[in-house]
Amino acid sequence: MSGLLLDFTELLRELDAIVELASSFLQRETTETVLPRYKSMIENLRHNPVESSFRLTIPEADPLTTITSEGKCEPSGKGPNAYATISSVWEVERIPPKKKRQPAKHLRICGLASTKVRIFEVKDGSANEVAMWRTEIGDSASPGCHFHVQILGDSNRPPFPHSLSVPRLPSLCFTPAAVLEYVLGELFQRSWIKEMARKETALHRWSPVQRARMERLLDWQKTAILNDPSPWLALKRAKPDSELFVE
Amino acid sequence: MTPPEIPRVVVVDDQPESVHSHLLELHESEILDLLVRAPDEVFEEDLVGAKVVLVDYRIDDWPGRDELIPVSLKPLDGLALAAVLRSHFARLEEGTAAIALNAANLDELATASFAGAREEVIAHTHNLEWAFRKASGNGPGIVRKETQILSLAKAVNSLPTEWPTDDQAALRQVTSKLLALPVDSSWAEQAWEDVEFCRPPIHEVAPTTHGLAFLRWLLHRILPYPCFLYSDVHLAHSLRVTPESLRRALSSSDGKLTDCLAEFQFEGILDGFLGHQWWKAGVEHLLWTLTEGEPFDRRLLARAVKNQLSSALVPVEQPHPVVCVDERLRISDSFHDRSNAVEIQPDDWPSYARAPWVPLELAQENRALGSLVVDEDRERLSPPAAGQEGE
Repeated sequence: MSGLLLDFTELLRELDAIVELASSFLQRETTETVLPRYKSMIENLRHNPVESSFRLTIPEADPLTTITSEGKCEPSGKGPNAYATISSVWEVERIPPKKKRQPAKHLRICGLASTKVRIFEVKDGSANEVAMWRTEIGDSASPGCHFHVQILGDSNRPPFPHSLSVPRLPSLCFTPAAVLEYVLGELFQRSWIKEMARKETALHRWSPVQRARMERLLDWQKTAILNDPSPWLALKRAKPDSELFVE
Repeated sequence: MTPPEIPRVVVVDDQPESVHSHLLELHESEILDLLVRAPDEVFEEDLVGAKVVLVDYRIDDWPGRDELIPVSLKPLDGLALAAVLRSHFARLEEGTAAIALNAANLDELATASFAGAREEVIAHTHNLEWAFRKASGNGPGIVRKETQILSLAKAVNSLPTEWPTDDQAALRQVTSKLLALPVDSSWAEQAWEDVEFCRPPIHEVAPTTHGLAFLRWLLHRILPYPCFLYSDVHLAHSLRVTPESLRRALSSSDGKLTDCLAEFQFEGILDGFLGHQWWKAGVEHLLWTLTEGEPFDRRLLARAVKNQLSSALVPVEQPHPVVCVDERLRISDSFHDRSNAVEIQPDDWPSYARAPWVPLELAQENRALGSLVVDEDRERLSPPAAGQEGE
């Protein structure tokens, strides 16, 4: 298992911030139901003891869904009409707080930690899946980069069949909220930047969390490659300390 | 009825001779029609056509009141008198007026002992359009009181008699005209969305209050706060320059900056009431254009500001500056870096306005301010002393 610890407050803060930042780019069902439900799951886990591990999920049957990007996935505005859905499964355990009645500070990733992105092209009134990838956190035994992206791999058919678990491409974002930001930046190349620039209050909540996390990730990666003759192999093998992202 | 060209302002004061000389000058110049009355001398015909009624707060010398015994006939102060006058306006057919308090010491009415008297909060709390201090300040950035009164009178004069609440497009047109929203600009649609986000009371409330609700919304909820209009401080913050250098550059003889910003300047009703303001959507459009779509690139922004706006603008030092308020919840001229500031949530701050910040040190020293710190930032205040953690 990953064993990675994450801070509850940070996870909740980034969810609140992304809801505000991204509201214009998400289907109403997503902002009104799916994200609040996911947030509520995290809050419940934070406040209530659980016996064993817990699955934080955004179900594939009821995913986060963006609005359709009308050509805006290309800066020229001439790309295909496309939208994305994002689902997620994280197997986590709550780390009990020092005092029982206090909310828990951290959770630990103890199993699967996968966020799936599916891109649908809209043409002639129908939507067809044209791309899919999974952003994942590896475990202590997994080969490949610890924080990685895998293309497809859901079915047995090529390309990227289930039987082939490579490549595991390195990734810098791994929480569902961060993955959502990444996807919006891809689907709405210019208008996403514009929207972020308008929402300063939400940005002030979003960017410190993302920056701190990315700085730690990059610092860890930099340290990992320092003395190895093959920096790339070093990065591939490196396993972070479980407390990489917590104080 | 055609609105009179010269707006009438009625001043009710137990010391009529103390009326501000600048107001008298405006009357003599026929810019205002000024009526000054002692409380015993206010009659219905004085209210007809009035656009602003300025009511003295402390009314000590009122013989007619003092002779009466039933308390319901004895308004003790200007707040009570203002309510009486408002009830009479409700009976007049010729529309209504903005009623404002005129107080020597507005701090007596401060809603929070630490925050001092914020005019918009006092007005909002006491069913007034505004609250003025008798002795208005002077100095750069301070709008003269007579200018504000004139602006208020003109604004009341401009309020439409009809609000087409059953026609969304017509309602938008009326509101856009009042706000002088530049409808042909490329950012007009965004500006309108920003206005709507701030919940203008145009659907139900404005029509039933002769438009006064709209005026109050502007005075109490929009102009004092960073909503869809930006003050010079927030404009400076957007450009990542010091407010002082922005003011200097705007008032200098170099018109290049003023010309660049003219397109975005707010010129709707009450423009100038709290100083120059600019459309948020326009400023964002400017930033986008200056940086060619890279508004987060600080170096690019600094270069563009220097080359295309004014070389006299001084870039701020902080990498992530935030606009702070001081201990009186007044927007401060000096920015702090986000890492040294915390976000607060004062009671009367509109939820749709950009959130205010205070320096971390100030929040740690000032318990009252510290209590306003938002949940997300509370842990950044000093930790509680040992033994004080709850169960």
